[in-house]
Amino acid sequence: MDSIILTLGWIGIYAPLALGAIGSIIGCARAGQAAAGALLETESGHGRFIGVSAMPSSQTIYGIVVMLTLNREVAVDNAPGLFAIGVLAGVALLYSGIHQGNCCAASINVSKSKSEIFGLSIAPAAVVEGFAVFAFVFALLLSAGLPQ
Amino acid sequence: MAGDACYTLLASLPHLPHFTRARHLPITRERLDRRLGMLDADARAITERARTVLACHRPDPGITDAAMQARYRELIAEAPSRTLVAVAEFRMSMLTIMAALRRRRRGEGPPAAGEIWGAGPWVRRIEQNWSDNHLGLSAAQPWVARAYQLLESGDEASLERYLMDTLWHRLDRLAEEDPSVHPFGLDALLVYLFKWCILEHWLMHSAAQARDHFIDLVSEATRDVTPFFESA
Repeated sequence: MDSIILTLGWIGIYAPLALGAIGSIIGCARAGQAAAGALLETESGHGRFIGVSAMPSSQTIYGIVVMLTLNREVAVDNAPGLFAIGVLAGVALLYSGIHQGNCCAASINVSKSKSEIFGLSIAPAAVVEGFAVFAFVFALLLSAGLPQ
Repeated sequence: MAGDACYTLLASLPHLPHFTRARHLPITRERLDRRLGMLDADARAITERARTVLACHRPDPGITDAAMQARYRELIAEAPSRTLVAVAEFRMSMLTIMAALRRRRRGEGPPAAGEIWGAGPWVRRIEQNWSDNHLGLSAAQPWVARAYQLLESGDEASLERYLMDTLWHRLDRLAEEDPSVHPFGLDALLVYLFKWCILEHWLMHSAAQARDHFIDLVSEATRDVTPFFESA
């Protein structure tokens, strides 16, 4: 039984990075595909399309920081906490990465024909980023209460 | 997978203005076909079949009503999404209802039993309500009342514009209100293609716009050709 609990603890440590990276992969791929399509239809402003398509990569960075914060000697008394915080933070980062990618793709799609709304169209992606930051910050705060 | 290609494809397609405000096609048929080449074979086959059945102009002038009905049934049977089914049913219902109204205006009676004259979910109801001004569809298809009025007044141009506008708004509603329509999915692409067909059909009806379209096509075809004296 202890070995299962310890395994869950290790999963919890690595989950924020793994799930955050999966979210970033899907989000960046979707936004990047939209940016590639928009390049065909526009004469300028290509750099900002590519820049926006990289926005979902922040979830991986948050995942790395949470993973390093959770990283400690896994024991029976801290493994459940590591699992709960790590997996739930990872799931939040996963979803935010995917949906931020959708927001970025939509932003690229609408701003290719109306460049003046580029700043406004990116706001939904920034809002999604805000929720990822909440998950990230509170994962750090709660991890401070886990036994070392 | 069509879904992945649709992100690139849809982002590469220009915005389509409402057909009454457009002066020229934002993207020519040739360029559109080239862009559709990003799709995989299955998605390409679906879009081709849908465009053939639902095009605003007759793709094959010699096609019979029975052949058109067979194509429609095949499209419905193999449609990968309920959005395509909804669009196909609405478009085919529009064609069938207008065929019935025109037949009746010519003084013809209801179609004979077994005669293939239309397709879609309302064929039987139309046959049963042949003498009703709105073919018994005033509640189910509210646009029929206005279409009947315009047909009776003989204002064919306004009727055509009204039908195209009705179809355009139906497509907009499907794209915006149906949660199953992903903004970068095959359904969104099909909605775009149908709207493009409406736009093309409408622009072809205007002599001045048809001339502009012709110039666009020539420009497109000769874009990479260096003039003789410039190459000398």
